[in-house]
Amino acid sequence: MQALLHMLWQSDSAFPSGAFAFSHGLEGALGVKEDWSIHRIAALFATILRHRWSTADRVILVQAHRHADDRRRLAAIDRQFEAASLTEPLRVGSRRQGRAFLTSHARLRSPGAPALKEALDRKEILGHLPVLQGAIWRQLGMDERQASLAAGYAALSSLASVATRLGRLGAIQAHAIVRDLLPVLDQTVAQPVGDDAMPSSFVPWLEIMALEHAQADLRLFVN
Amino acid sequence: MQSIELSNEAPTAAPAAARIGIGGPVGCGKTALIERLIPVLQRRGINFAVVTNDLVTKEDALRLQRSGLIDPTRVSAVEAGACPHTVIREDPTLNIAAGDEMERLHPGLELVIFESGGDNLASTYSLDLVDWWMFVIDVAGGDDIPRKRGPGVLRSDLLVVNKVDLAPHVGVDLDQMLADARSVRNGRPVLATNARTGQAIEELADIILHAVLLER
Ligand SMILES: Nc1nc2c(ncn2[C@@H]2O[C@H](COP(=O)(O)OP(=O)(O)OP(=O)(O)O)[C@@H](O)[C@H]2O)c(=O)[nH]1
Ligand SMILES: [Mg+2]
Repeated sequence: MQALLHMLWQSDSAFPSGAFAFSHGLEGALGVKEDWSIHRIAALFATILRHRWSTADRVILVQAHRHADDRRRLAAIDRQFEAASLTEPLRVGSRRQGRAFLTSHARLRSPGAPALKEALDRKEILGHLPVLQGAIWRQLGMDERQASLAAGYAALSSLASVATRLGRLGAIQAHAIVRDLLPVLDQTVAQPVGDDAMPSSFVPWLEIMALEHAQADLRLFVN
Repeated sequence: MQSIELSNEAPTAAPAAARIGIGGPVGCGKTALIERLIPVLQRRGINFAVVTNDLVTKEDALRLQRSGLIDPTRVSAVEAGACPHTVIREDPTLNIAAGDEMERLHPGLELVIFESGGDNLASTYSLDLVDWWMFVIDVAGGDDIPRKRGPGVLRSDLLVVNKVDLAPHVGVDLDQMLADARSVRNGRPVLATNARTGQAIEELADIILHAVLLER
């Protein structure tokens, strides 16, 4: 019960973790044209979930969750995510988001968080978001599946919120997409993650858009 | 009512430098006031840095960095994801991290100033982020703003009424506007400034330093 409540708490977009300021390439992608249909946007979200979040972030989160007690292993997982994140704005964004997430947990004195924050300040870890989610949520008692669902839900609802704030979807339309992609989330989370699985992603168009976005003078989101 | 003991109370360790917020509607003169404050704080030997929260650009940060007034590494920008109030209130973690980064970069830092993106009269700063904050309105925004009693006007530690030079041009009775402001603030201070000429900037620095450095 406690773990379930922790899962709700941690997937709530009101939990202060800096997430609202990141678009994960979406601001750049939606900016390329005016006429995005709701169906194309839904397909874009599904692609991001399947071909980036699930294969990169989730793999790292699960491994970090398994090795939450092993600082050296965590640091290695963290470096692996860094190496697999070729697109700078997304890579830097993940580290900034990780730092913000850890800032809240360190101040809340969540188990293990102050020590991780010190390790981050001493640059012993890079602090990518999925690594910290896996490590801290494990300490909060969430199991692997709960941690994956919380992170996946947070990723999905954040895409919906970005598209809403950019005026591309109505708030209710956005949640029609969220609802219809919940089964996708369920399927992706059910896929096993090997202990030596490498993070990978294949959303090249989105990454190019994220790179262009980083050069733009006018932008609302970090990435 | 009974009180509930918390297992721990965030925030735990207070940051080394005092942190203050400057909020207020778009164009009220927040950056202009900071530009005026910079030389005054420097003359008084204060070791400080500025973090801006621009809405769609890094323009304010670039403006300060290029001003020649301050070492550009002492200015940074935090993006607000279209939510200028969220980044200072509901979720100040990115600003907290930016303040921590400034402290790491500049040992001995005494003060970090956070400029909010232009927002509306309802914006307030989280006490997780700042020790003290001021809300800026300007004369040209209309003399009825104090009477509208937004949380910024009511709850800020200092209310600044800027652009007093414009009062005659926009038909505002400045004395009445200041009196209205004082009457809704329960004795908390109100200061009239002109960021064009520097009027009352020394007083502004006195108020800030007294509030956050002396009382630490
Ligand atoms: N006449 C007059 N103009 C002022 C004064 N203070 C600022 N301005 C002008 O008002 C305009 C807006 O000033 P900024 O300092 O950019 O305002 P801001 O509050 O930082 O604006 P945002 O960050 O965009 O919300 C500029 O053209 C300033 O030169 C003042 O006291 N008197
Ligand atoms: Mg400004």
